[in-house]
Amino acid sequence: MFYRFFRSYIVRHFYGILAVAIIAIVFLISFIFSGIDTIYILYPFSLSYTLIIIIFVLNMLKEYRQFKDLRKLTDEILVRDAEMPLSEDEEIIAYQEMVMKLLEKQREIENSFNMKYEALSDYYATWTHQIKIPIASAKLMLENNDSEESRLLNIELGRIERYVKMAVNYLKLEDNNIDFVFEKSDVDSIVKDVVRSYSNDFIVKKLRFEFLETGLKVLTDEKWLSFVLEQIISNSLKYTEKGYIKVYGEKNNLIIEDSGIGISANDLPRIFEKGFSGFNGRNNKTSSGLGLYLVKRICDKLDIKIKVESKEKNGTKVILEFNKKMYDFE
Amino acid sequence: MYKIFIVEDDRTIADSIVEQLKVWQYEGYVVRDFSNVLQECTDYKPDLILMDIGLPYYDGYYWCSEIRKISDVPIIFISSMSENMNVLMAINMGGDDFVAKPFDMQILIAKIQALLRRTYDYHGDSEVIEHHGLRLNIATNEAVYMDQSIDLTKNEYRILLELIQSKGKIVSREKLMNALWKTDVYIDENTLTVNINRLRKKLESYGIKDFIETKVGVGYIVL
Repeated sequence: MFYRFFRSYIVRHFYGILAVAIIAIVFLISFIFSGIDTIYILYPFSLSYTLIIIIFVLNMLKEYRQFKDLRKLTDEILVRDAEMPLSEDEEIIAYQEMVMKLLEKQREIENSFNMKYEALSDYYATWTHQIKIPIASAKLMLENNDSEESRLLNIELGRIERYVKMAVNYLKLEDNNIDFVFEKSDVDSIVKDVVRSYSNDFIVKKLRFEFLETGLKVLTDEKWLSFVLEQIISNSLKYTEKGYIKVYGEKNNLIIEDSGIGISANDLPRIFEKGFSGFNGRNNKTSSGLGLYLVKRICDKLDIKIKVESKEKNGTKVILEFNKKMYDFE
Repeated sequence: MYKIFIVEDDRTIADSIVEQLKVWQYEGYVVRDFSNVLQECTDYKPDLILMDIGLPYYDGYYWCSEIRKISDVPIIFISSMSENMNVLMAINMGGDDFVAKPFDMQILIAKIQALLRRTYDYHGDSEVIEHHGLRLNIATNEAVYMDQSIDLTKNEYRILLELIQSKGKIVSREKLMNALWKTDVYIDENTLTVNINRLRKKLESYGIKDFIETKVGVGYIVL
């Protein structure tokens, strides 16, 4: 930092330093040629130059301090109400006014943005509650109706319901506003809960669900883990036309396996990217590329390692690896 | 007959609940004046209350705490606001249970039954469904015919319950499968057929003949 300052100091005071140097050279040369005994001039000469150098050094230290303060101010100006250093220099004052004006404008924009954002997110929250009520009504109306249409409608309602959940959770994650409640949880009962909500999907598609109870007990947030499982099973259901979806345990892992169309080797490394829908998703058109992105982010927060193994046309296997600490808590 | 007081401003949801309660021999009453829930509640003297949170005039927390000042009647919250904070608040205000919207009617009924059983320690008519002398007790999962207890598996009991609950109506195979899936039995079509046949044989061995009729290509019916 000092080097940067020193260079700019030299540049700024270039003409002053040049003037002092010219005077010194001119005087020294003329003294030498005039034949006066140099001892008479050397004393006043070195005295004045010592003084000049001291003045320069003092001035430089002062300016270096100001420079450091200014740097600090630059770092902090957006975080706190920083005060500009006093200055007599009209040029500097003009710059300072410019900065303050911009700062004021920036705050104004930020405030109005925050207000708009808050209003929007309040509305968003209200909306997610509102939308659940007609979904609940419609589902209850369908309960008394035993037909193919009612089952298909029920599946569609289930999809709407999950999109709503996804919207809520997306906002929560982007806002970093999450209420994690870590508890000792029974993985099997979470799996069962999730599968229950998909019963119609399985039955209508005539897919088998094979569940080998895992006995896994982990320290986790049930709501978020169940959201993760919901998304994974939803994907399996979407891309499996016949066969099965299987859930089982393997050591500390929970495995969700399907006999669906699989994922191509090209797409596989990118499935957790935001907005990536891959070949399968593009064919499907309803894919937002958001589900697995959210899954990955939540797994990170829950300290669960997620891996996907798949071959095109040959099924997909999702492996959730629970951190050792999570089930060793007893 | 247990009386259930329903504080819910969505008419469709409220009516569906009342309808389903009837099947189970409960009486349901939906609040009319949301500015005066407390008065209506004390007039009706319910055995259990279903309480929404988002309501006109005052919210469900308010009414719950008002009711708690004068009564210990069990209260189940039903709401779309199902964040941890809302659940905590509902329990703090004196709620006994919380059901998130959208909910499954079977789950709501099960919670109502469990809470009534816990509160009143009573096994009444509401816990028994009867048809042609065959009685199903939903508290004990027992089937009784002419004082003889019939030994049914969980699946057989569940199938029978589903059929008797919609007696006189054809129940599709899918609906039966769905009912079993809701109890975490992941049954497929073939297994269902096997289960039904076994159930019929059992019923026959107790002298109950042709209880379940097959409607080919559609499902089953209990008349």
